[in-house]
Amino acid sequence: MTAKGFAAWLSAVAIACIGPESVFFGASMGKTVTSMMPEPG
Amino acid sequence: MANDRNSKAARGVFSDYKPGEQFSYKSTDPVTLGIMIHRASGQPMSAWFQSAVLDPMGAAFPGSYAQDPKLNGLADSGVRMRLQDWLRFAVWLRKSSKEAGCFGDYVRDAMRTQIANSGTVATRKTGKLFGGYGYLAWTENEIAPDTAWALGHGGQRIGWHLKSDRIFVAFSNEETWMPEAYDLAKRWMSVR
Repeated sequence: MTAKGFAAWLSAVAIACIGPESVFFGASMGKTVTSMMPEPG
Repeated sequence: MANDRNSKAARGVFSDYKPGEQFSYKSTDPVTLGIMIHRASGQPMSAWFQSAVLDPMGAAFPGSYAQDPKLNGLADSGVRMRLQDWLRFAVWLRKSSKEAGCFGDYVRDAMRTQIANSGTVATRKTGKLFGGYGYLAWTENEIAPDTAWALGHGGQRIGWHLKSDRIFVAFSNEETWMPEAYDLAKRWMSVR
C-alpha cells in the first residue's frame, strides 16, 4: 500500500462525497455533485 | 420476526444452522428473495424494480438489470447504472431512512447490524473489514465508525454515515484500495 498507488487509484475512479457541501472527484467528470444532485434532506 | 414461523425453524432451508445463528455470506438468500418478490408481486422482477426503486429514486438514465428467462431478478447483483443514478439511489435511501412506515423501518434496520460477522480482519471469510451485516448491507466498518455500506463487485461502494447526512460513493472496478477509501470516507464523515 503506497500513497502513490492510492493516488493512481483515485485518478482512475470516481468518488462522490455527498453532504452539506458535496464534492466530487474522479477521472472524467470534473463536476461537483451539487451541480448534478439535489442536496440530501 | 421473533414470532415468525421460519425464524423458529430448527435450521434454515439452505443451511445447517438456525436462522440468525451463523452468518454465511452467499447469493442463495438474495436470489431466493428475488424469486419471492416475483411471485408475491405477480410481475416480472424488472417491473417491480422499476416501480419500487427506480421510479421513487428518480433514476434519470438508462441502465440494465439482470433477469432470468422466468422473469426472476438476479437479486444478489446485476444492477448497472451510471454514477449519477447511484448517487440518487444513495440519497434516496438516506431520505427513506428518516421516513415513518414499513420501508423506512426496513432501511433503518438494513443499516443496523442484524447478525455479527464474527472473527477478526485476519480470520473473517467474507467482509473482512466489517463486524456486522444488516439487510444486504455491511455494518461495523473497522475503519469508518458509525457507517453502513453497500458493496458492489470490483470496488463499487456506497457508505452512509449513521449520524449525519454524509454519504460516500466510490465508482470503481478495483478492490485494492478499499482500506484507503474507507479512511477517506471516515474523514469526510467527520468534517464538522
